Amino acid sequence: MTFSVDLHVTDRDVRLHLTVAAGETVAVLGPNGAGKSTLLNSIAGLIRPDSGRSQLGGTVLFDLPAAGSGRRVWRPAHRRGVSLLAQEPLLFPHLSVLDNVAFAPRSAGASARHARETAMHWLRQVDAEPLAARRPAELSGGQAQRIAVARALASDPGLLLLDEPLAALDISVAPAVRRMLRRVLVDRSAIIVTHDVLDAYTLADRVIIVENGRISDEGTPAEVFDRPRGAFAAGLAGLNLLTGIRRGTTLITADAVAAVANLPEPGVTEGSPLSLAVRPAAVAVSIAPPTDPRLIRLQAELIDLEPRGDFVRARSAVLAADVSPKEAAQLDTAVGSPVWFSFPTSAATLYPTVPSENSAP
Amino acid sequence: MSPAAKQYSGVPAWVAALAVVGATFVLLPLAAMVLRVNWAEFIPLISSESSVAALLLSLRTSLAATVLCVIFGVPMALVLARTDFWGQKLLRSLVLLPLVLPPVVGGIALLYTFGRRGLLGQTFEVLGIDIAFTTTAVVLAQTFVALPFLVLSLEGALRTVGTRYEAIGATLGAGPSTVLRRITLPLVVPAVVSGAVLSFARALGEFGATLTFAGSLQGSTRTLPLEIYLQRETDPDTAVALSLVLVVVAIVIVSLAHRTGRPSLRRARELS
Repeated sequence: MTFSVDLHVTDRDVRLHLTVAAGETVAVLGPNGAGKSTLLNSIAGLIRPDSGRSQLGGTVLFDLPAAGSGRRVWRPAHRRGVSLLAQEPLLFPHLSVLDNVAFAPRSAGASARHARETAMHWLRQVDAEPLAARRPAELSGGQAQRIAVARALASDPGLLLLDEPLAALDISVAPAVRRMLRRVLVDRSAIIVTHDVLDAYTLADRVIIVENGRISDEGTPAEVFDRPRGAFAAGLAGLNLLTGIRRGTTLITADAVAAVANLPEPGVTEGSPLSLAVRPAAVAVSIAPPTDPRLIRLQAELIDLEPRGDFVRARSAVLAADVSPKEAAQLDTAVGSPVWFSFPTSAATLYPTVPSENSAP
Repeated sequence: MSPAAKQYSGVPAWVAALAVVGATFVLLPLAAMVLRVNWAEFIPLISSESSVAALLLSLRTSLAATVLCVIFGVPMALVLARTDFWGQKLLRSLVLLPLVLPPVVGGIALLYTFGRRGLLGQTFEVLGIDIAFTTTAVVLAQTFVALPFLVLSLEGALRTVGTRYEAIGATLGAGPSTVLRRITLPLVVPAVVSGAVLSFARALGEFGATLTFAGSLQGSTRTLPLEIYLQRETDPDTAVALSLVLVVVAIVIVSLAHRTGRPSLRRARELS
């Protein structure tokens, strides 16, 4: 079923439009407070936006015209065919696992026997059949989230909403639940809110970045994370992002802090906006200018050296580099003074800057 | 207690001393009453015709009042805990007023509502129903004073449980009544039970509103507290024996409420 939503919440300054094609999984990423939860809760029918419209297949979920013009439609949550899976499993503590999963079929009017058969089917789908007789209090976090997935799927939703389904899970069990989600989300219309790029890559066909209540970027995971349009997406993808104007073989960044010298042959025309993305691990730091003339380089003040396990992150205002502890020790005296950051052309992705319609301030 | 479980306790000695005085103040009168009981005549005293009639009437009316409290108190608690409307705070204070109102005032208020010349009295008279000074009036007086106990404890429990389970239930296709029956009520059953037990206890001890609104007619409106009050003048031994019966009933009820209250607290902690 195709799904579309237009959403407007005045006091939170949220204005979003998105569609989900039949069988498509869309990942929504964004900073905290960007409006992601507002989006999911409005679609689920748990909060009422100021105005907007949403449709799932032929069913209007809500139609709230601005300024009271026309008929207002608000379909209650239980008649939307939209199921919400939250960060916490929220299994009903007074019901067994089987009865939790059978809850939706029972509510839809199925007989007790039929509802339990449906529940067993979905428990098998999430590899949790042996847990059927248990109480939620007797489950581990990963098991409980599996059951919550089965319970949501047992309602046969036209659209499945997942609100950071893996965020509360132990790091050791998250991968198995993610694989299970990948399996059950095939050919299912779903919106997944997440903070994890890995979730977006493994689970989603399309990624939407929401910042300050607006969609700031949209595309396949590869498009959004290999060629990020904004700082947020670049940060998620673990990339340095430099944006500026091309001048010959240099990139003049917008804040004019640094000029990147030695750009490869121009792929974009002179004077046009250009983005450059590079992994911190590919960047080298030196006090003296790099000797290899083929390296892309820029000079910037070294702000600090931040130990991160087996490597050290050297940060400047425009670029970060991951260096070995040995190199970091040599750089220690250079903190607060300009150093050279350099990286090979092959490590950099250069692409024309696409101005986002609602670029975040 | 094992030495490992001993933790720093910050109770100064003078606080403990005041606590002991307070506890003595509560327990001493009970002991004084028990000492005054005429044990040789105890059974005959409490099994006299008027005593048994009063006890049975008390149990019957308190039970009926408790049922009314559950039927109307649960919806009231749900509306107060789950909805948001203008004047809700004021309404809550007014609904809980019987908690702090002198019962005799409640009785007068009921009299001017259901009495023959009361607000609704004429209506009921037309229907051929007489309420004041009947057993029905006893039940109404008890319900009036006991209802806030159930509403208060249940509303607190509903707020503690929160609405997240209910929201999930709705997204799974359950309508409001199904959510209420299969999620909300099962989660607050301990609070309903302990609230009902408290209401029952309050109804059982009701005196002022009953006397004012229902009078004191043996067999139909003279409940146990009224009987004790009357006997005190003429037959102190009976009054003391019946008082002891009420004390025992109260202790049983408190321990029941305590037992059912604990799981509700534990569950609330699990949820939070």
